[in-house]
Amino acid sequence: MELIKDGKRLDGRKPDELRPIKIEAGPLHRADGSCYLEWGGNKIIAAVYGPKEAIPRHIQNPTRAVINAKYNMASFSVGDRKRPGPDRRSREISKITSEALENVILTEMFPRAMIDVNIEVLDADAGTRCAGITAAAVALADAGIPMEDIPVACAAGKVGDTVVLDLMGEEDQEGQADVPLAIAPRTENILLLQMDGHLTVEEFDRALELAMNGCQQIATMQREALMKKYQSFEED
Amino acid sequence: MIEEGTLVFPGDKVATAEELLPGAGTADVNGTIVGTVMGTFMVNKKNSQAEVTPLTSTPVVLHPGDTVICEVKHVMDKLVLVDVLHVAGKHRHITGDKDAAIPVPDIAKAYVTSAKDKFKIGDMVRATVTQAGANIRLSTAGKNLGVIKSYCTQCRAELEVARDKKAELECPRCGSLEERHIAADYGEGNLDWK
Repeated sequence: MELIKDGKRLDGRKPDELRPIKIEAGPLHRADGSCYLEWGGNKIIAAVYGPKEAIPRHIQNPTRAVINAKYNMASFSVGDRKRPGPDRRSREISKITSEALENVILTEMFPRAMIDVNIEVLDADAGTRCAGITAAAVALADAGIPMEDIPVACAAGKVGDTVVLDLMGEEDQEGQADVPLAIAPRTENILLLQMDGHLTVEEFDRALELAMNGCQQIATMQREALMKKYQSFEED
Repeated sequence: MIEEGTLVFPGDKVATAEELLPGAGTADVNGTIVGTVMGTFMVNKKNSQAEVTPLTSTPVVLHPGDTVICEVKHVMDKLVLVDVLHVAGKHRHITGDKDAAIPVPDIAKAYVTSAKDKFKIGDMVRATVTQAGANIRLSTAGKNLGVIKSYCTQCRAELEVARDKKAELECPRCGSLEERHIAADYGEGNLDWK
């Protein structure tokens, strides 16, 4: 399959262009904080509960809170029905999401507590771990959890020998490499960096640069979503 | 330092460590004072602190003076152990440990010989926080404080305020008379009443 034709990708995007993104803060009223995110073909809902007493008690840390992120794909989120429940991939993504968020949340303010972050993928079209972290970050800010920054994530990769930003489904499957990246946008500290496939050093640097730029664009959208929710509150 | 009243998001630089100290809703990150919650930036001139007044709801942390609803878990002569379930006026989970104790001198203003005469396991109690942190201490000495719901020790029916003055509470099912340290609004279910 020819993934890049006349410098344009299958969906008509340029190599350094993001898919359309829509972020809504606070759609769930029973959660402490929540976010609904549409990113290309991805549809993701994130909910935050806590900080609350950490149970079972043996997971409590007397000096800080524990971040318990849970990433789950709905059985209907992909083309072939996915067997419901946790699997190797979702456990890995839950772990890396918890670790990325732990680096920005001021966990030492809540000893013995636990913050539950539930990420539910309703529709998947590549880049769900990045979309999940981005949605979870908005949900955490909506829940008033103190953070050093609002984390944001975006992927870059290599498709048809070209380094591109934000891979879509076909590019993810047929492409040569995928580099998901999560950062704290103010300091540009890296919270998550993975790589699947092969890239030269130059290609990797280019991918990192593209993903960093993508993250900064999405960070602006996260702030706009939060501002929209709380502006409408003030007007009411 | 940014202008007072500016809307800030987590991670926004509001001042430097040379200008202000970090206060509520801010943190010192390598010499930069950043907002940690979404809200409005204010300067506490008295303490020279940068503060962010949150627009979002905030986590519920117990402070001395808070009114709480708790469930009695264990009663000893000199101590009542409870599980804090709810903070009046707040609608979020309580952060961290929820185990608390009511020492016998803090049960009532009058002298109490044994806490076993005033509380039983399973009672729902309104109390105020006297000490927060690692060891939470509560007090029920006050008119609005004490048991707000309790069950008969004989048949587990919900107890009602006794019609005559022989005892504080009576069981509508078996007629058992029971003693408790009850709040002024016993049985009304006012969870947010302070």
